[in-house]
Amino acid sequence: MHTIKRGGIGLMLALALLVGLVSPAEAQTTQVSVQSGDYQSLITFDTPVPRREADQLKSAMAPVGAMLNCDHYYPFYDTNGRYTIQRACGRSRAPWSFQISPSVQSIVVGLVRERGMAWKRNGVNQPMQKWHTETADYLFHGTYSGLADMYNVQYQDVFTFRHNLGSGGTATLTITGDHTFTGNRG
Amino acid sequence: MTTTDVLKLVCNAVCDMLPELDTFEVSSKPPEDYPFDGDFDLWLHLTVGEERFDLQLGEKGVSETPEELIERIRSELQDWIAESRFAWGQLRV
Repeated sequence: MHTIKRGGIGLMLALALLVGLVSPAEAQTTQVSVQSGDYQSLITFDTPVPRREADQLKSAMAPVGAMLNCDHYYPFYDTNGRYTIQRACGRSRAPWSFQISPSVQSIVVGLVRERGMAWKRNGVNQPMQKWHTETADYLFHGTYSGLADMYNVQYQDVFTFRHNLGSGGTATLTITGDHTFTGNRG
Repeated sequence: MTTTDVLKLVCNAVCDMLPELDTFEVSSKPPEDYPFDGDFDLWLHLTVGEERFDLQLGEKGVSETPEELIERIRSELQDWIAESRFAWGQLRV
């Protein structure tokens, strides 16, 4: 799941409403949700923003319920970013990464704050991974540990940043997913 | 586990990896600029020069063995060291 929260509605929207370019019913939104398989993308805004702009951030990325083989690098893309995961055969650790997409990077003002990856191993909560404050193009990354074949990992991380849409505001991008490491090579 | 036990445990994980260490603190206070609500009992704060490392050590509802805690600290610390100005790219685990 990806969530983006944004704040601010700009003068452009107000003008568009005034001249009838955008109907009130479709003018504003506080949430955009997309689900594809086991991976969801949800964008929420702290104040309403133009729906048409919000809809452009819809996405459809997918490792939800994915069965992942070992010695294989898996990238999962959507319009908000790219999540990757890999595990070497027989190893107990699986490094992951997430990079915010160029289109979302372009609306970021200042730094992005990552909460830290929260995750469950076979349904059991694990300690949250380290938080980071980095530039928008940073390759956020971490490692799931204590794994073995057929172990399942559910994860969620949250990224917040100021954005420059409309009059500006705060956006929150949340990624969630669920995958199982099969232990089969390739 | 007493505070002293925690400090010893954390130092076992950290001190040999980070001879440059300037400050070392274990406290219940999150970093001042931590922007999220967290359910954490304990934080580790380290500094080397102007660079800072903050890690959640304890989290309500989550348990880990001392060995798992040490492994997690060292793993996160290695990432931080490799991206630091004082030891860019170095592998210390």
